[in-house]
Amino acid sequence: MSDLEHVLPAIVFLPFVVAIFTLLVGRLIGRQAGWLMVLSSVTAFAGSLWLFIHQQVHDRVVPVFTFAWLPDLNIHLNLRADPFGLFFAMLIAGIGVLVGIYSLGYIPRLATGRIGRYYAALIGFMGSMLGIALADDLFLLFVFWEVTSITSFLLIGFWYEQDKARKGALTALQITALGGLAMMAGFVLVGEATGTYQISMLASQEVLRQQLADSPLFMPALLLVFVGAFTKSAQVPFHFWLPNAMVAPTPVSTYLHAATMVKAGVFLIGRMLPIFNQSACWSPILITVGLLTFFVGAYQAFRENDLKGMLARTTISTLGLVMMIYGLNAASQDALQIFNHAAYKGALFLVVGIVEHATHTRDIRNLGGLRKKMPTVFVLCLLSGLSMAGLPPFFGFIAKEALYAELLHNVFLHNRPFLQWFVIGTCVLANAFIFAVSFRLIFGVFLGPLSDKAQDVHPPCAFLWIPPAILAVVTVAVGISSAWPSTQNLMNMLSSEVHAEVHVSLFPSVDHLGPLILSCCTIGIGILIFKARGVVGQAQRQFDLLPAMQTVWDGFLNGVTWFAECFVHHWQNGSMRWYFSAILLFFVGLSILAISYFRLSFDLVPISLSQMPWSGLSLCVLLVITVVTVVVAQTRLGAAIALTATGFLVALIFVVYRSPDILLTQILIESVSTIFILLILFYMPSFKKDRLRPAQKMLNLGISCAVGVTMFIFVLFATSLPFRETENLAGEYLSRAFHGAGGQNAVNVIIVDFRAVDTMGEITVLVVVGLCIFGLLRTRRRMQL
Amino acid sequence: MELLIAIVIGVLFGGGTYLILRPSLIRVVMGLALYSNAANLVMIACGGYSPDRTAPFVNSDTNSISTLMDPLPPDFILTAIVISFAVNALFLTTCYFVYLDHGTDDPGQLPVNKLKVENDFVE
Repeated sequence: MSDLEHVLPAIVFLPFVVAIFTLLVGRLIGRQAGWLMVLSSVTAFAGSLWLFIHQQVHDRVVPVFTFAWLPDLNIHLNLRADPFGLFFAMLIAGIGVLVGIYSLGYIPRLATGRIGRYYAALIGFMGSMLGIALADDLFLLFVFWEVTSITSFLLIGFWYEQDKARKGALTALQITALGGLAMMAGFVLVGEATGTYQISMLASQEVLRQQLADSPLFMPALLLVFVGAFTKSAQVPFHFWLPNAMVAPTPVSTYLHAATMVKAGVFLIGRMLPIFNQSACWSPILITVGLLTFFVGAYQAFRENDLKGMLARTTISTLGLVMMIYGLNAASQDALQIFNHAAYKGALFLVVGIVEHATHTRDIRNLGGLRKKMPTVFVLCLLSGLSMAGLPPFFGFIAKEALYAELLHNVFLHNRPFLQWFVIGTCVLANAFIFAVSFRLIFGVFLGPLSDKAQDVHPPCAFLWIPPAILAVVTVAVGISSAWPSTQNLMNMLSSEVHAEVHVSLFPSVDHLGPLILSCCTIGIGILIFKARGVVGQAQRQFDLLPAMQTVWDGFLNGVTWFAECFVHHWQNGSMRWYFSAILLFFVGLSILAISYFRLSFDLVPISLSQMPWSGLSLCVLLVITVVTVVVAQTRLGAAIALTATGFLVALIFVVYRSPDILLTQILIESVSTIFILLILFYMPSFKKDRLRPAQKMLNLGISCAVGVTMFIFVLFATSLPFRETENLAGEYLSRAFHGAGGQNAVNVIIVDFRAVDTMGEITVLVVVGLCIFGLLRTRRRMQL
Repeated sequence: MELLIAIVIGVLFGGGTYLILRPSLIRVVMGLALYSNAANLVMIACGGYSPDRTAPFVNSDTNSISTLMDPLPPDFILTAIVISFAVNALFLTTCYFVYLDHGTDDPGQLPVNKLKVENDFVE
C-alpha cells in the first residue's frame, strides 16, 4: 500500500513542477512545449488508471495520502482516491492529452511569443483540477479551486490585446472567485460545526453528519457551498460568464469550459451530497436551479449564431441537468452523464476549432457546405452531433435514456405527480432544443451550398483531427458496448454512489418502454423545432427568457465603483477640519465604549481635596485662565503670549511634582519656542475674523468639550485606579541608577544610560528638523534672489 | 491633586481641539502646542502625586529610595518636550511657507487635489 499512497501526490503535484519548467524553457523550445503538456497528462492519466485498476483488483481499498500541512488549524494535505475522484482525474488527464495534442496543431499559427505561458497555465490548470478531484480536505479543495479560477483567467485572456478577451476573462474571474470565496466561507462553517475539514470523514461518519445537521450553521454553509458550485458550473443566474469566456483559444474552451473546469461545480455537489443531502433544501434548490439552467441553456443555444456560443450554452444546459440529477439524489448516474457530455462536447468544440481555424469565422450564417472540403471533420461532427442529439446507438442516447428512466422512477418525484410531469415535460422540451441545436450545427456548417468563406479551405493536419476522432470513437464505442453488462458495471463503479445500479440498454425492452417513448417525443419535437427554425428564431428574438445578466452584473460593478468614488470624495474631501473631527470623535466614541464595556464607575475614583497643595490650586486656576486666553485671543501677539504663559505654568506644575529636570527643560524649550513663534508671526498675517458660520463654531465647541471631558475622565481613572504598580519598577531604577550607573540624578541616568539609544534618536530628530528648516529657508531665499 | 490636574488636562485638550478646528494654520499649531503640554501633564499625573516625597536624587542610603518620586514619568516627558518642540518648529516653518505661496493661512482656501477613482475596468 505504501507505494500507492505516494502515487497520489505525484499525480497532483507533478503537473505544477512541469508547469514551472515549461514557463522557464518556453522561449527556448517554442511550440514543442506542447509535448510537455502531453507528457504530463499521459503520466497523470496512467497514474490514475493504475490506481483505479489496482483498487478494483484489490478489494476496493482506497489509497489515502496524509501530510500535516497546517496542523494547528486542523488543515491537512489529504489526498484520497475514491472511484469517483479517480474517474474525474482520468477524465481531466485524458482530455488533457487530447487538448495537448490538439494545441500542437492549433497554437503555433496563432502566437509564438507566449507559447510558454500558455502551456504553463494549461498544465498548471490540469494539476489544480486533479487536485480538486483527489483532495480530501475542504481547504485543499478550495486552494485548488482558486488556482483553476486564476489559470482560467490567464487562459481566457490569452489574446489580451483584445478588449473582449480582457473583459471575458475578468468577468469569469470575478464570478468564479466570488463564488469561491462564498464556498470557502461555507467550508469554514462546516469546519466550525463539526471540527474537521476532512471530506471523507464528514461523508462517512454518521455522528459528524448529525452534528452538522443540528448546527445552526448548517443552512448558511449549505447555501454558501451552493453559490460556489453554481458560479463555477455557470448555473442560472451566474451563467453569463461562460459564453463570454468563449473568446479563449478553442483548446482552452474545450478543456476548461466544456470538459473539466465547469464540471468542478457539479463535482463539488457530488462530493457534498452525502454531507448535505439530509437538508430539506437540498432537493428543491438543486432541482429548481438545475431545471431552469437546463432549459434556459438549451433555449438560448438555439438562438445563438456563434458556433462556440451555441456549444457553451448547451454546456450550461447539461451542467444544469447534472445539478438536477444530484437534486433528485440520483447520484448513481452522475459519472455517466459527465462522461457523456465531456466526450461529445469535447469533440464538437475541437471540430468547431478546426472550422474556425480554416475559415476564420465562427458565425454559422457565413458557413456551409464544408462536407466536401473536409470530409473527415464532417464525419467526426456527425458522430458527436448525433450523440448530442441523443440518437441511438450513440452514448448520448444511453445517457438520455438513463435520465428519463430516473425521472419516471425517482422516489422524490414519485410522491409529487404534478412536479414529476412538469420536470419530465421541461426535460423533453430542453432535450428537443438540444437536438435541434445539434442538427442546426451539422446542417449549417457542413451541408448545403459551399459558402464564400469556405472556398479555399484546406483539410486539417493530423494533430487537429486525431483528438476529436478519439472522442468520437469513444462516443460510439460506449454507446454500442452498453449492451454488455460490463460497460454498465464500469459506469456504476465510477459514479459517486457506492452501490450504483443504473441499467441502460441500447435495445428496447418492456422495462424501458417509458424512456423510449419519451425519447421518441424528444426527437419528434426536436425535428419540429429544427424544421420550423425560422419561426422559432423569430419568436426567440421577440421573447427573451431572462434579463441579460451581463447587464445586471455590469450595472452592479458600476454601482460599486460609483459608491466607492462618492464615498472617497466625501470621506477624504481634503478638509483638515473634517479629518481632525473624525479622528477625535472616533477617539471619544471608543473611550465611551471602553468605559461602558469595562463597567468603570466613578466610585473607583477617590476624590480627596485634603492632599491638595495651595500652590497647585493657584497654578491650575492660572493655567485654565491662560488656556482660555489663547483660545479667545483676537490678536496674534496676545495668543502667543498666553501660549508662552501656558508653557511656563506647566513648567511650574512640574515643580509641584518634584521634577526639577523637566522644569529646566521646559523653561529652556519654552523660551526658544516663544522666540521662534514671535519670529514667524512677524511675517504671518494678523488674525482675521473667522469665516466659520455660527453653527460650525458650535459644532467645534461641542467636539472640543467632548474631547476635554473624555480626557478629564481618562486622567481621573488613570491616576486613581490601581493601575500603578510601578513602585517596584521605580525602586529598581532608582537603586540601579546609584549602584549600577553611579549617578545621583536618577532621571539623568536613565536618559543617558538606560535609554541612551532613545536619546540618540531624539537628538537625531532635532538635527533632522533643524536641517529641514534650514534647507527650506535657504532654497526659498535663493528662489527669491 | 488628581482631580485638579484632571480638570487642567481636560481644559488643555479642549482648548487645543478648539484651536485645531479653527481655519487658521497658526492657531492649529498653537492647538498642537497645547496638546503636547497636556500630554506631558497626563504622564506626570500618571506618575502619582504625594506631597511627602522628594525629587529623585539618590544617595547611598538605601532606605531613602522609598521617599523619592518615580523617575520614569519625568524621564519620558523630557524626551517628549524636545520632540514636540522640534515638531512645532517644523509646523511653524511650513505655515510660513504655505502663507508665502498661497497668501493665506486658511487650510480651507488652499487648492485641493481632488481624488479621482480611475474607473477603467468597467465599460
